[in-house]
Amino acid sequence: MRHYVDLHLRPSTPEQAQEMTNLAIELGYRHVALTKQANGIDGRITVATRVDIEARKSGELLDALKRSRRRFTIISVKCLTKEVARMAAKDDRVDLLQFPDDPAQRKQNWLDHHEAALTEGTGRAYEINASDLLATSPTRLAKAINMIKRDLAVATRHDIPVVLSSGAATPLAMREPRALTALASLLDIDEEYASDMISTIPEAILERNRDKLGEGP
Amino acid sequence: MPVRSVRRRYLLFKVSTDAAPDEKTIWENLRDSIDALYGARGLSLIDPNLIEYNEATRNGIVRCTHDTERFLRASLASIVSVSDTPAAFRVERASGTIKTLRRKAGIEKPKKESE
Repeated sequence: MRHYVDLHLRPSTPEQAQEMTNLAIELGYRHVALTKQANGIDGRITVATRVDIEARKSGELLDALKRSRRRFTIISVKCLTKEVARMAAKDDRVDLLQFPDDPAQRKQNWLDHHEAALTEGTGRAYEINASDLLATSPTRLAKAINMIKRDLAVATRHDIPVVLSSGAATPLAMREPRALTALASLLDIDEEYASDMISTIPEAILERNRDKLGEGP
Repeated sequence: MPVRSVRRRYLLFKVSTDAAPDEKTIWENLRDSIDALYGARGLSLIDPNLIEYNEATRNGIVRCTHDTERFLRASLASIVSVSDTPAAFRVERASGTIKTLRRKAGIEKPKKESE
């Protein structure tokens, strides 16, 4: 039986973190990763800590990684520049690579073959946020689909695992697991692999990091 | 014995929002979402039909063709506002017959106004 995982919930307060965790249980998730700590979590779900590092220079990224690795179960790097993307692709402390959703920023910055070669075989994953596929005008959505599909083609060629997360900042932005796999159809991802992207692939990353950090399940 | 030519899927969804949308608003949002994602061709393939929507419980049942359930789920997930208020459409159950869907979800068939 699959255990569904949402590795990217971005609540703004601890109370909202708790509300989103409770909703995740209702929607059928078994594991979540939050950028804010939640209180009063019950045993039906495991909650991991996550940090999103946004850096423009590789020095900034290295400093942030040094500070964060032992404190967070999941480290995701939003690659705002090529320099940071290259550094994140080869640093073993990084778990997830994500790229900006803004088309203007993505013009010069995407998952290229060089970064993919550095990432290949390391267990680091490329992350898609479903929130990038929501709340957009048809023109912007079309651009987002094309940008992500371009990255996916490179990731597939280099056998880089892909994780699909909600990227939800509010409870209303959260969707049930099958809705996320349905949204993956916009990217021409078949249903079976889309299910892996929200279950086995992120679960393996969580388990690996919990073992490394000596955390219980 | 007559055989139904097109297989269908029925999805029970719940709307989370602070607004109080009526059935017409729900249908328009759903139709517009399918149109935005898949266009007129998608609308004809999915062949959506809002069977019912309960304003009190905010539950609704929508029908599509059997092969296009994933497209309908994506369209429902893509709706982020109703009447300019943030909203989420979440599918709670799906079934091949409306009778089974109602039985599994524990919802009664709505009575006609004349009854």
